[in-house]
Amino acid sequence: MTGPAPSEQLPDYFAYLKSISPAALKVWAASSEAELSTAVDLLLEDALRQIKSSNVPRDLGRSRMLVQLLTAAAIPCSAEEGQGGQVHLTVKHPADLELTVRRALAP
Amino acid sequence: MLADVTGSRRILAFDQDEGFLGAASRVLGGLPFQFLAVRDPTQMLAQVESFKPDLILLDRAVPGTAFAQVNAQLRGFAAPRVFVLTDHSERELIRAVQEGAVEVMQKPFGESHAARLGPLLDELARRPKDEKLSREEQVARNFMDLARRNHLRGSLVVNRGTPFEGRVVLKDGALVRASYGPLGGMDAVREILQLEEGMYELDSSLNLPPPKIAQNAVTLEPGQSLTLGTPDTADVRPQLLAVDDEPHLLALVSRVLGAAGFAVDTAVDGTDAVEKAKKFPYDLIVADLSMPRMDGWEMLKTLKADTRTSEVPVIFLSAHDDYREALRAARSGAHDYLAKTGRSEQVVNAALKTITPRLEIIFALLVKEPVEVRTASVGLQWFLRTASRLSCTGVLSLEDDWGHYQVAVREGQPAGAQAVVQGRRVTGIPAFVRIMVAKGALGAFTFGPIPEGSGDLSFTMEDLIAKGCESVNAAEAKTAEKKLASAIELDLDPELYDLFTRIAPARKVAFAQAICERRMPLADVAGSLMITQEQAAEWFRELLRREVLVPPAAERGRPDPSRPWTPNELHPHIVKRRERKRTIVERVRTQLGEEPWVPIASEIATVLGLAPGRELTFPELVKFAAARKVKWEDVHVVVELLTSLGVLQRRFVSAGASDSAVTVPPNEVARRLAASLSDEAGREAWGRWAGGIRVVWRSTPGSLETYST
Repeated sequence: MTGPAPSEQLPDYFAYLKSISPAALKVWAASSEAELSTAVDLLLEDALRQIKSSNVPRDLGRSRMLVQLLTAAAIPCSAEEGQGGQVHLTVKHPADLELTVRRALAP
Repeated sequence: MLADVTGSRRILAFDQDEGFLGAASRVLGGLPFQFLAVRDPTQMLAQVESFKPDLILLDRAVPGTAFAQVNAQLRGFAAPRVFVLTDHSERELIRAVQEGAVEVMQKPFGESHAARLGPLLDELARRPKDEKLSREEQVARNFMDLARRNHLRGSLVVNRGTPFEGRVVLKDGALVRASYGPLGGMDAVREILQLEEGMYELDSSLNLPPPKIAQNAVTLEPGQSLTLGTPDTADVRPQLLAVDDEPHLLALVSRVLGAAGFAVDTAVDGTDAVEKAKKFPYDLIVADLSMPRMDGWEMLKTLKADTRTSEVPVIFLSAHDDYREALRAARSGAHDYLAKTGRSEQVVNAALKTITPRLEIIFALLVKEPVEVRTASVGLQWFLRTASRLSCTGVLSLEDDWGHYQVAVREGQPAGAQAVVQGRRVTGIPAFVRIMVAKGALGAFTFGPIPEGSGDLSFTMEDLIAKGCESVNAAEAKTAEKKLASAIELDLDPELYDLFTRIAPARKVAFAQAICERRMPLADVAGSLMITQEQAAEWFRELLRREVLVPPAAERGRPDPSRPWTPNELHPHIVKRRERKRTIVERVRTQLGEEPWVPIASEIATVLGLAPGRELTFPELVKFAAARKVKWEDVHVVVELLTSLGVLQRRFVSAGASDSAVTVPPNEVARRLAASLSDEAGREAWGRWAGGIRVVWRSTPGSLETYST
């Protein structure tokens, strides 16, 4: 269901990102590797919960769904599916700070 | 014995050269190591995460930008990196340490290398687990450990021959002494290894050489001049500009330096000094720091930014004796920093010390001896002017990491110039411009007849220097004039970019990647790399001067921009656009899958991704979606993905700004957002501030060319 779109104003933009996942703002606000790591874990927890509750068939690809959800929250990321269904996820800081967090998600 | 110390540790090696991987596999396979070879840079992260290596071997000579990309990716991992080098130079060793290597090994890889890995891993395992070192401290520690392991002996020198010379003296791998400006010990080692523009040399001297300072043999009375009894009868007195807004101090400094043999001119502030320096090539400027209109810092920046005046050494005189100010002077490119103590001999000694390398060259040229030339120390323009004044005939041969250069001089006038960079040979003015850009070149001037075929210049020396300066300045002026905020409208020279990423310091490589590949705006890159805007602008100018970034092919190859395109001219652009669009769509397909993402990406690429300077806002995004009967949320996902891939840029623009280049850096937005999450005051401040900012996506065509396969 398509809802109302935000305006071009910055507060609206971040309000929309927050509606995707409140943890997205924490990722934006992170200023160190440790803060980014904590925020990404919260974001992933949220994203994985959403994927689980959506009942989308697994064969659609968990890595692509994760990329879709994180990208919708304006968080730059890439994912690769490894052997046995493990997903290797790389998340960069959205404000172009030289901070990166990597996670290997179990199948 | 190895089995005792190595156990079953995991070694991962990255290279695209089968020779190295094969040798490493053979040698390490016979030892109790688990070994994994990786050839594909895109697989590196996944392999590191699953293999969990204890140590990573990286071949630094991997062609293209793969090494820089892989090394940058690995910075977030704890596994130590050992660089395998083909180049044996000390500069390559220092670059490796600066880029995070804990050890270096020379190719070809063999059993002796493998035998070093076990003890190295043992040593690294003994490092305290909970220590918190900054990146700079880590680099300094890695260097000292590497020096100890390899029993390095000699002196690591930067900025040789200048008062701000940095020197680390090592004996059997132990630090004997280190000094750099006001710093000593490990502080000096750390600062020296952070120098972006340092000329690193490792020589065998263990002792700090006594400073070479030309002595003023005679003391001159005011108004008296020095006459040299040389056949050339050239007046080789150093020309000095003294700058101070206090008339009595200016008179005092002028008097003592004039008595020491300098020909002294004066300026009353920074603005006056810059004007005078543009008109006359002084050998030295001695300036007060605190002045009206333009202070010493601004004066130095202005002088450095203009090729005509960038070589002149500057000594600062300050009312304060401040350690931090001295360090700032060293970092800014000043040649010395003196507190105004009232002792005039200090100023005279500093001035003589600064010009000593130039005086040594003058004396060698006067007696027609071959002479070593370091452009970083004496300046190319100064050397050529001096050779001209002394009517020399011979060849100046120089080289740096970029290439080889020659200037032939006949009776003091330029006869020819050639430069060979990446196997490309150019002659005449274009060659001379490349030589001017090579600020850290090293070589020699040799007297003798000019070789056949090198006579391609017919200017006076002053005209040649003026044309060279004009050419370098013109490219930079164009940048300033067009307010080029990023490399969007410029093309990339892949070969020179490749070379740049291999020889430039790590932070410059990160800068070049952000500018050239991700096409980020300059202001944003400065924020993310935590460098000043001035530094970012200077590095951007270097990319232009080095011709890593060049004007678009369209501008370069079209003789008359007013006439319509011919089909032959147009065709390459059509092909390029088609390839770019295919790359954009393919990237989206890889990350998100087929439906509905690929059709949306295809449309976005056509409308936005291929059009220079086009912008999109959220309301337009919604209209775009409605017109194509797709969800705006899905369009937004594609737009954000293309932003993370560098096809689009997300810009935060001040509302009401007429020029969309007036943007707020993303890190500033993030900082204020963080404050808004912490307390009520921050939330209120955010509300007031953020309401005046718009979010805009802007296309960055060309950004994917370097990703194309």
